[in-house]
Amino acid sequence: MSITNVLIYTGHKISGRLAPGLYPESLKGIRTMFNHIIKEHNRNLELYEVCGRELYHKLEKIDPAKTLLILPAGPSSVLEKNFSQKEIDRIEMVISKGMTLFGICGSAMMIAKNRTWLKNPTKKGRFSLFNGEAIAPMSPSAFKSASFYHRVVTLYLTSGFKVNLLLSGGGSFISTQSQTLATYAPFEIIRYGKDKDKNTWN
Amino acid sequence: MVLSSFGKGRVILSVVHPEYDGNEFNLEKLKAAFPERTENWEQIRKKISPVKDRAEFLLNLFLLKSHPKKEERCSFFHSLSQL
Repeated sequence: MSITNVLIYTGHKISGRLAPGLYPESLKGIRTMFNHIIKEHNRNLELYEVCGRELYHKLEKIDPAKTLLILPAGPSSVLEKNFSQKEIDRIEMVISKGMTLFGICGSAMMIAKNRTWLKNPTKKGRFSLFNGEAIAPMSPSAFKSASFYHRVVTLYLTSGFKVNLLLSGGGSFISTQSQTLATYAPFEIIRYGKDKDKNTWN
Repeated sequence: MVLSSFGKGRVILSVVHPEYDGNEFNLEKLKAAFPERTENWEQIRKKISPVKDRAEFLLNLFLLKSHPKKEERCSFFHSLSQL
């Protein structure tokens, strides 16, 4: 069965206004990326942009095996507050029936069972989609007004495909029950002083 | 980037940004919010792979998944190869 529906979460609205959390820049980038995929790769995809409440109802109507849900970037602790327990339950239920979810940066951290930012105590997440720990940032900042730097980082897929992507803090996911799809280039691990703990920063 | 199973579904987690080309940011706002930051945005924009490479990466990322059960792996490969 093919994926034909791509749902892009556009944040929650409170009294008609967008609640804080989701980065509009990330949303803009995802639109550009998927429009490129549809046009240049000739993929037959329907893109749906859905806010929190609409997402809840939309998930009731879609075929899970044909659907990819994308959660754009944003600070995990802020994003997490926007979801009601009912919404979390529905997202998890539809994924358990075959949907694929792609979480980016803070959204990916949000769906981890545990997450650790810098040396702060580990937080328990409200989602249970990733049974492991998310740790961040890869590129911490020494300044008070920002806890991380933006950098460009080289990544490799396990096939050897290489790409340079924006690192907005960055991090890593640790779990014995997951599979690594792409890793930081070895020189990046050394550059950020993570080479002493290669099993964690991959 | 990792992949995890959840029931019949899958979760792909990325802590880096395949969607950004660096032009999405309002640099004036960023500078005002974080005056101590020293990012060289011109250099960042030059270094980020073009959208065609990032899209290819994303498609490859979905394709390269493997799953403990062969029949599910085949189905998933097929499913995501259509993306």
